[in-house]
This record gives sequence, structure tokens and C-alpha cells, in this order.
Amino acid sequence: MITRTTRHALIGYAFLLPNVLGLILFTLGPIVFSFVLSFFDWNLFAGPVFVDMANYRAMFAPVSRFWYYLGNSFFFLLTVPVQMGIALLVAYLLDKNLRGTLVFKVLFFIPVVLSVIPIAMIWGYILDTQNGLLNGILGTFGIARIAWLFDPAWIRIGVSLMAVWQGSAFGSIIYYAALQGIPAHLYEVATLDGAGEARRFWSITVPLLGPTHFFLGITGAIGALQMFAPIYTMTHGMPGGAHNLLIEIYMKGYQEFHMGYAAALSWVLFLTIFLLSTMYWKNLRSHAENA
Amino acid sequence: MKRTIPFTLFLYGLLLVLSGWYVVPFCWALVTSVKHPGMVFDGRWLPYTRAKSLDVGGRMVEAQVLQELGDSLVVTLGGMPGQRVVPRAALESVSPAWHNYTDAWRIVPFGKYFLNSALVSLCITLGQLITCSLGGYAFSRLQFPGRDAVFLLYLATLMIPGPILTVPIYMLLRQYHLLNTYQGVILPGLFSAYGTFLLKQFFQTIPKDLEDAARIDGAGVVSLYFRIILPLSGPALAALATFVFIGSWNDFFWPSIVLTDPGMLTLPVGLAHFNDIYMFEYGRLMAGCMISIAPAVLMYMVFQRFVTRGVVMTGLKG
Repeated sequence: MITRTTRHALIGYAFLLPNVLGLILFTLGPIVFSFVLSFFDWNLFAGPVFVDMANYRAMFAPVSRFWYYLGNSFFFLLTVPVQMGIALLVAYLLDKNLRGTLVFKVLFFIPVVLSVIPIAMIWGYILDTQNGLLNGILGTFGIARIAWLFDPAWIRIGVSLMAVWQGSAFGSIIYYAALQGIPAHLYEVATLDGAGEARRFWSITVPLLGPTHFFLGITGAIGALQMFAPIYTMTHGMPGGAHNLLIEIYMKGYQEFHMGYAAALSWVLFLTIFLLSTMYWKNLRSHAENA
Repeated sequence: MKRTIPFTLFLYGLLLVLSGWYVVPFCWALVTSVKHPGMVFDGRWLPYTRAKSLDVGGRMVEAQVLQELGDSLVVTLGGMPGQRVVPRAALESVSPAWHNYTDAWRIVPFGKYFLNSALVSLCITLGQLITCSLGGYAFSRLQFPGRDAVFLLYLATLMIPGPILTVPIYMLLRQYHLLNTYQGVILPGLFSAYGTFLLKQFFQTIPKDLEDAARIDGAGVVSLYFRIILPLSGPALAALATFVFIGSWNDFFWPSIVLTDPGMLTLPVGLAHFNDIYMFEYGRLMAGCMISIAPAVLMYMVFQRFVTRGVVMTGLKG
């Protein structure tokens, strides 16, 4: 006979079954497998060959461009503070409830539902060296044409422009929601004490948004370290100077089918992002405990 | 709080500058999408077309443009010696090249790609609603050994970035001949630690009294899930659905790896292929972009409030 507790336990496991299956098949399994794979050479056409640490040695060999790719991954972190700044400004302005705010809201929030691909195509055209809109505008100020998507010195900035354009919409929505949670009486008290608009912004708004800054900073950083579609689309798969670690994983894994090497690269990127996320969750926990 | 007029004007000024930053790229793409192939790079904000012949004293003469000089064109006229300078307006007139849209539609099977994307996104959204709500219910309401250990493991996987797992998942799908199938795109997307976590948090806010009352009426664990938990979780389920749908509709990396058959691509992947093949034909490319983003923009206009609330509630990027 089945007792009540056992029956409950069985129902509990049944409810959890799909999740646990998914967890094993598509998260835990792949992590373990990619770790094992990183010690093999496997090109999908012939069987796997154990190569010990060769993949990692190749990654850190003097001729390898690994550090360069990793550096580029980190370069895109610079987009995070820029897009947060724009997002905060947008949210601040919308929160002022000026006439016509609804129209501006629709306008500023729309990129959040748009796919990266058309946006990257539009920006690819705007950044075109010969005929792009941006070089046209800069030209009227007497600035010489910049090869935004071909010059190794500029390509990362070209890609970043587009990333900021799209990424700031998400931040605006989050900041806007957070701003509405700041009690109005704080501002009233500050005004009575003679604080001006700028003072109120820097001494009340900015500090009270602390958790939001942190949330956007970390999620933004995790996203920026994994930037793929903007780079791939704007450069037609020839990323040149914007070649980052995820692009390298894509190239090595799915273009050249060096699955073992791609797995080793994945592990390094994984550890990098894992460190960042741990910081995030730790901090979130301490926030929750303090609250 | 009252505001001074100069300050209000200053705020409007900032709003306008920011609007420009958001709107100009979009408008420029829109104008380009109706520019004629030869005139795409003229740098003007209206789509012009250029006539092949010029009216010279009542007679139409074939005109060939040699050079462009600001507002004038240097041309040679058929059957006449030498070159002459004519104003642009004599040869050029504003006319949108609507055929860019029909061309793009003909080259890219957008209709098919829409359906493909819809199929994939709907399956993933529905699947996540089911798996996440089941898991969320188990974690928040059911008692069984090992529950908290599994939940901690779940929380830990939240920190694992998706693209890192693709190499092994790719090989797994390959092993089971699921590459280049919709199942291959959908299956890994059916589960989400984040969605489970989100729904668990929401379910915990539902008062237990309701369940106790239903239990007295003889409802079991399973019927509590269907009769109490799900009906009371409308807003959370809707927010999760919005978030998952937008994410999978726009996803690029995974479908671009799994799908290779040109007829099976999802919208972003199909558009990216179009971009790679018709590299510098910006008129058609921009027309294709406009077609591809039209549904998202329309949906957003209609459900604006709903979408922003969903983004705030789920608070996570795709």
C-alpha cells in the first residue's frame, strides 16, 4: 500500500520531471560533456581523438589570437555604462510627465521588441564608408570619411553604436519603472531644504536607483560579453577587428568543425561570465537580506 | 511641483535630441527602402528617380549623366555634340520605388519565414509555460524529499550563459538526427530555470487559505494546480509568455546554427542570409528590414502597456 507521503512525493517528482529532464539534457549534461570534449580533437567527420591539454595549449600559445578575442569581448563592456547613461536620461525625462510623454515612450521603448538583425542591417547601412549617413553628417563638419566597419581601429566602435542604440531601450523601461517607485515626498522635502533640480537628481534619484544600476550593469555586462548577432550581421561574417570570443567559438565550431577547441573556448568564456554572475547573485542576496 | 518655463523647454530639447537619435536611423532606412537602385546613395531625404531622356525644345532626347555637381548634372545628349549642364530638377523627380518591397518579397519568402518563426516561438512559449508552471508549483507548494537540493541546483544554472552550451547540444542533436529540424530549435528552448524561478516566486504570493478551502471540498494536489494556482496567475503567466515569445521570435544564434535548409529558416536568420547575398543593394535590403519588423512594431503599438509591464516583471534580456 502506498502511504500519503509517498504518494505526495511521487506527485511532486512527476511535476518536476519535465524540468529535471530539461536540466539534465540541455544544461548539466552539456556542461560536463563540453568539459570532456575540450580534451579531444573532434571534427565530426572522424571519431574523437584524445589530445590531453592540446586545445588549451593552442589557445594560450604565442601565435594564438585568443587574448585579442578576449580583449574584444571585454571592449564591448564599454557599451554598458553608455547605454545605462542614455537609458537613465530617457527614463528621467519620461518620468517628468511632460505633455506628449506617451508618444515619446512608444518611440524610446520600441527597440526592445525588435530583432537585432534588421537593426544591425540598418546600422550597417548608416555606417557605410562611402555613402553612409553618419559619414555624410560628419562630412558637413569637415571630418574625413571613417571606415566604420572595415578599419580595425573603428569597427568595434561602429558595432558598439548599434548595440547602444538597441540596448538602451531595455534599460529605459527598467529605470522608468524604478523611478516610479521613488516616493515623491523625498523630493518635496529636498525642495523645501533648498535643493535644486540637479542636486535632487544626483542626491536622491541616482543613489536610490542603486539596485537598478547594479542589475542593469551585470545583465548588460553578461550580454556584452556574449555579443554575436550585431558583429556577425554588420560585418557579413567577416568580423575583422570586432572578432570576439563568441564569434571565435562560432567560427571554430560551426565553420571549421573543431568541436573540441570550440568547447575549450566555451569553457573559458563560461568561467569569465560565471564570475560576473556570482558577483551579481551574491550582491542580490545581500540586498535581499538587508531589506 | 511647479517647473519654470526655461527648464521645461530644456527638458523638451533633450527629448527632441534623444528622439532624433532613435528616429533618424529608422526614417533613413524607411526612405532608403523606396529609393531607386541607381539613386540609393544620393544622400537625399526623398526618393528620386532619374528620367532617361530630356525635353529639348519639345523633342525628347536621350540624356546620359556624366557627372553630378550639387544641384546640377553634367549630361551628354543623344545626337548632339559636347556636354551641357542642366539642373537636377530637369531630369529627376520624386517617386518612391515601391517595387523594392515586391522585389524583397519575391527574393525572400517572408510569408514562409513568418510562419516558421511563429511556429517555433509559439511552441517554445507554450512549452515554457507548461514546464515552468509545473516546476514552479512543485517548488512552491509540494513537499517531497530532495526538493530544496534540486531547487538550489536550479538557481545555480541561472548563472550559465546559453551560448556556452551550444557545442554539446549541437552534437547531441546531431546524434539524434535533429539538426535542420524545428524540433532541434524548439527542444532546448522548452525549459527555463529563470521562468521556473519567476513563477515559483509568484505562486508563493497566492494565499494558502484558498487552497485549504478547496482541499476541504476534496480537491487533490493536481486539481489545485489547475483550479487555483493557474487561474490566479494570469499576470505572471502573461508576462512570462510575452518575454519568452519576444526572445524566441528574435533569437538568432541558435536557429542560425541548427537550420540550414533555406525553406526552413526563421525570420531573423532568413533576413541575415538576404543581407549576406544582396550585400550592398540597400534599397531592397531596407525594404526587407521594414517588412520583417512591421509585425513586431504593430504588435508593440497595440500591446505597448502590456509589453513594458512584461519586461519589468521578468526583468531579463533575451
